[in-house]
Amino acid sequence: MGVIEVENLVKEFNGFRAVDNISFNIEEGEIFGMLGPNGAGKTTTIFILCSLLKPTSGTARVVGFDVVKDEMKVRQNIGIVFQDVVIDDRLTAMENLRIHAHLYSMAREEWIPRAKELLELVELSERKDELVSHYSGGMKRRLEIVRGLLNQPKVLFLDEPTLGLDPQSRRFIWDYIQRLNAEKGISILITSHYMDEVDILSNRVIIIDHGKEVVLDTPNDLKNRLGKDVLRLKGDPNPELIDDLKTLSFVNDVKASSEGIEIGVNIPGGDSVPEIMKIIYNHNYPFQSLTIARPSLEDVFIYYTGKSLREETPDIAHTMKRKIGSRARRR
Amino acid sequence: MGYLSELMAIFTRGMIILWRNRLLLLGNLVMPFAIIAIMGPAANLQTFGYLSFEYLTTGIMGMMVFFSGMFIPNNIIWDRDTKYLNIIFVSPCNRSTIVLGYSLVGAVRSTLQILIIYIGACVISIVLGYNNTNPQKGLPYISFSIPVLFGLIGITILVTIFVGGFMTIIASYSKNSETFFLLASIIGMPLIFISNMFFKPENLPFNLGALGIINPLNYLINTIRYLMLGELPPGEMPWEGPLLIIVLAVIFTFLGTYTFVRSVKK
Repeated sequence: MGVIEVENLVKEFNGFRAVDNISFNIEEGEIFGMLGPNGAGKTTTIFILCSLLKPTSGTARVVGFDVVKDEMKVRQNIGIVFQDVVIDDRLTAMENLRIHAHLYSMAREEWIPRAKELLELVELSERKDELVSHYSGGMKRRLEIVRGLLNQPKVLFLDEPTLGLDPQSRRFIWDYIQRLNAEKGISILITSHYMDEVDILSNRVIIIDHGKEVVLDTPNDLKNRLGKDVLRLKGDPNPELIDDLKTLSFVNDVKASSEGIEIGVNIPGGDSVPEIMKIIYNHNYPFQSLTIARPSLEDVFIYYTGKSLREETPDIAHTMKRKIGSRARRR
Repeated sequence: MGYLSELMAIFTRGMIILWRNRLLLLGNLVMPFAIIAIMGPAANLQTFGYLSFEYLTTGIMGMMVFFSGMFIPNNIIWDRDTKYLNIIFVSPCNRSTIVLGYSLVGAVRSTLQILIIYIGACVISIVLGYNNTNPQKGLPYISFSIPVLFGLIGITILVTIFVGGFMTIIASYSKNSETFFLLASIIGMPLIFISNMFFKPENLPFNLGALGIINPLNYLINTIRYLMLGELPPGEMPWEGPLLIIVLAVIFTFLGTYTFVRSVKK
């Protein structure tokens, strides 16, 4: 039995299907990634699993409890870090944790040692009595993770936990998540639209788009499914060279990119290099570098959805959102 | 332990925030004293004794309690808008603790105000001509008494909880705090004007004084006046006001919780 069991989950808002017939299981101690663009239904799914929303149809069980019938038992067994920073910055870290402990009816002898241990883990011990308004974005996020873990949940939901953070803070958060999973054995459901985040952290990934499940597998197997490498040639795009490269039997696709030429091959990248170099030599093509890359989750996403993941860069206040764009690349 | 602990969470948070906002706290405490010290004797003189110091003092007390309750949903709306409520909703706490917890914070605030007005009125009575055995017309004669003090605290807490629950229902239908304050004023201000807070019911135009029987504020004021001055309108029993307020506090805490949770959770 999995810690989370979702079967044919549907959620509609005024006729709009935010979650469309999704099914998946999460095993104990697993980090399960949910990948998708904004509006794909990730947060709605989490809200249903946390009993904040009622599903239109389908069933969901968390730690064996039905999210509709046993909502109180579900709440006792989960912790959550919401997409938005939801922490009272008029209080200190310890005060925030104290309020949280009271909400879960935790005794003083129970929550104080645990709070101290968790604050130590996320390196906030020394600033535990400081007002949260003086914290950086990354520190607030870490405190939210501590709060989510205070009641010793069996499942931790992390909804876009690194949204709006700088790269260094993101790395810190990833490290804490991996340590929590390894040391405490907590099952984690993490949603993100950052490919690298899900790739690094997750044991398995579900890609959802328009509320529907697109594919579910381990990150490596998902990438292996594409069965090819990508060679990136840095230099000016040369149309004749592209045409000649396309004639090679192991080449799937060749396209000009902003930095040069991208060559998709269906054999290991290294094996394809001699033949490709011959053609480059024949054209006397002045390239700067040649790199071989494994397909990324971005490639997987494009392969299965026919488009790239719309990325979003929030500003400091998380209020303005910028869509970088969506490339339609049907295969 | 469970319910009390959950209630404690909401209450403690509200109290810490109130304590940290010293300016707000100071304003809340200074304002009632300023009103009673300046307006009380002045209004008495301005109205040639028609509105006595005691009548105004008890009216102002009622107004303070009502306003404290009126602003309780402001905190809940703030929590809703900042999504902090999701943290509470995702915890296994009883939903009624949200409305009741915030109402208790409001009750602490209004109790402090009431105590300041009461003690201030007693001091003014002594300074300006207190005469316990033979109160002279036009001179303040409010005296201090411990049972009255406890009675005032009890009624203040109950009324704040009732008004907090009632206003939470209005907050449930308000998309933002501006709409809430508008709706709360539209409903709240007429309740004040047709009550016996500042005007004697028999002098209200168009027989509006008759509506006093369905205005819960009248029962609040009558109870305060009974406690402090020993006066009660003809035909009203001393237990009627407190009993009605207890019933309303329970009903509106429940209704406020129900409508608010329903408005947030879909």
